[in-house]
Amino acid sequence: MTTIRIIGLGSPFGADRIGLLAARRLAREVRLPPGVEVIERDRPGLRLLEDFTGARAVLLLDALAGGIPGRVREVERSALLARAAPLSSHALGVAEALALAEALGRLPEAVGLLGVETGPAPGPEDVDPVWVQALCLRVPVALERLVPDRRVAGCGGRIRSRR
Amino acid sequence: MTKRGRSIRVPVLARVEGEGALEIDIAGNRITRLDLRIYEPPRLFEKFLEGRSYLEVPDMVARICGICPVAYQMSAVAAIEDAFGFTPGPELRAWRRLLYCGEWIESHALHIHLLAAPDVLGFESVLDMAQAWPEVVERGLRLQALGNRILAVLGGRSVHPVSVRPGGFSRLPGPEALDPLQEACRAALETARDLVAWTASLDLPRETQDFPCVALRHPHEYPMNEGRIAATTGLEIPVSEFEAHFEEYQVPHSTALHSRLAGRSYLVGPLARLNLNRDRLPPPVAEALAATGIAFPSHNSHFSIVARAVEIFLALSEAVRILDDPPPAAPALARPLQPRAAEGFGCTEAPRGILYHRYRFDADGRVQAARITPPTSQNQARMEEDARLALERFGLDRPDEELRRYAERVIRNYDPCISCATHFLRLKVNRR
Repeated sequence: MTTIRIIGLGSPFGADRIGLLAARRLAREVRLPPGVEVIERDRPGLRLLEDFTGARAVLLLDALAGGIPGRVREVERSALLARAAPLSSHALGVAEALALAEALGRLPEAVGLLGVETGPAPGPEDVDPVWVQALCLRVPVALERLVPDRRVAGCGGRIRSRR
Repeated sequence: MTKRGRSIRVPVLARVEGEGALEIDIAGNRITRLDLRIYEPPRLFEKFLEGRSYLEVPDMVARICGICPVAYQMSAVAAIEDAFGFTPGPELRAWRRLLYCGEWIESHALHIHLLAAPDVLGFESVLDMAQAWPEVVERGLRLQALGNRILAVLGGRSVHPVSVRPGGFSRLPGPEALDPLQEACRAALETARDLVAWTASLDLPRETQDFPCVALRHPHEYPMNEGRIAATTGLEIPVSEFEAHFEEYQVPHSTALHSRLAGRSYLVGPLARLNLNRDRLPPPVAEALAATGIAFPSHNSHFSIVARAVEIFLALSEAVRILDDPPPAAPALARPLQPRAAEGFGCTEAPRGILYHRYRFDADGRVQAARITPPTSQNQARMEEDARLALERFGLDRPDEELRRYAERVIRNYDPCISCATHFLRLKVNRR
């Protein structure tokens, strides 16, 4: 079965939790179409490469430092790769892991990132649930862009605000 | 978020700026001054820890480093248990050794393949190297993942494991997790043996210098969690006498304290450990080392990459030995300790070298004073000395860019925390 993997990224701290919370919410509250799976990864570094194995498409969910707090942004494959800095294990970010996967031929063609901008660092200490909801609601559109031949519409349709 | 959470984040933010700077004064064909600056966060932790319960210490100090959190936990519990008069039994010792093996494997695999190999094979970074040598990078990733897996199985997660407690583990895995781990470790033994030969086949500079080596020394084992502190000078002392022999001192150009032994800089880490403990290697590992044809003890810091490979093979062999017949978990689970007003000392072998902790506790087990001496700061004076001698031999009339690259390579042999960045040195050369 074709695997489309949604990976929530982040850490347990502050606004950096957004990707993890969004993935958790998708996994709990949405009936995902066959072949679509959701996982969470706490600061995976290069272990992210293992999550590309067997995936036809990968959609990353993450917090984006800077920008307008709460704005959802989509970052395409080429833009992600262009952000890779020379590899450093103490600052081994998503872009660097993607660049290494690309160099090793392990990066799926269909890769994108959906993020919420959190404003100037360090960002808010708590995550506004609305931001998580906004991120989840954009998932179906992002997936359709990544995998145009798959019907994934409606995968965020049942997301409802908890308030 | 609580205030406690915020205080833990400080070094993480600071580490983003973690980089070195090298300033050299050159007069003719001699270096008259060489200053290496390293940002070193553990000093802040010594103050954070004051007033905290001994129960919080292992998880707090784990945050000092994302690559070697186990080392900080191990030295901390050793010091705490020393203060409160607890001696780990054989089961707990074995489980802790297995956890430490995981950290050595992941840390060394990362350094050899992703940080050092591009220097040796002539690439700007691992991203360029991955195109020409994908199998080397893949091997590094596989070994690193295996080390991380050991940490995850024993510690609950692969970064900043959470199961280490004073007096034992908060939980330990059963056969459902250990059996597949044993198989995976056994399957990787051949790779590790080959890795030793591969590192020895690399074209490494022949740059021998004179310096003392310092490492733990254990009666029976290749040292990880315990032993006396030994040096190639003939020194052999209990951990509690560390501060009587090793002097930490401040230099104006660095936030990290430097260290010296009897007035000299010294080396800690894989090469120092191997130089002092070759007779403690299990036979298959000793044979792999002998087959390299490299004479040990070695005082060529470029052979550190070989020492790291030997230690990966050793750690994997030890992991397989422990996992072949895992000790019962129950005696290794944490039990309440009896806090008392006392001082305790701990020193274990972090991947980068000996990591010394001392704590003074009040009667309730709250930290009154803490002292943490990490391997990178102990190596700092040696790194400066090495870089000075190596650059002079390399030729000071070369362009600054060549000097910077070679200096980086020399310093990267020590795997200091700053070595992770591909271009971590800002070089300032003052020529007269």
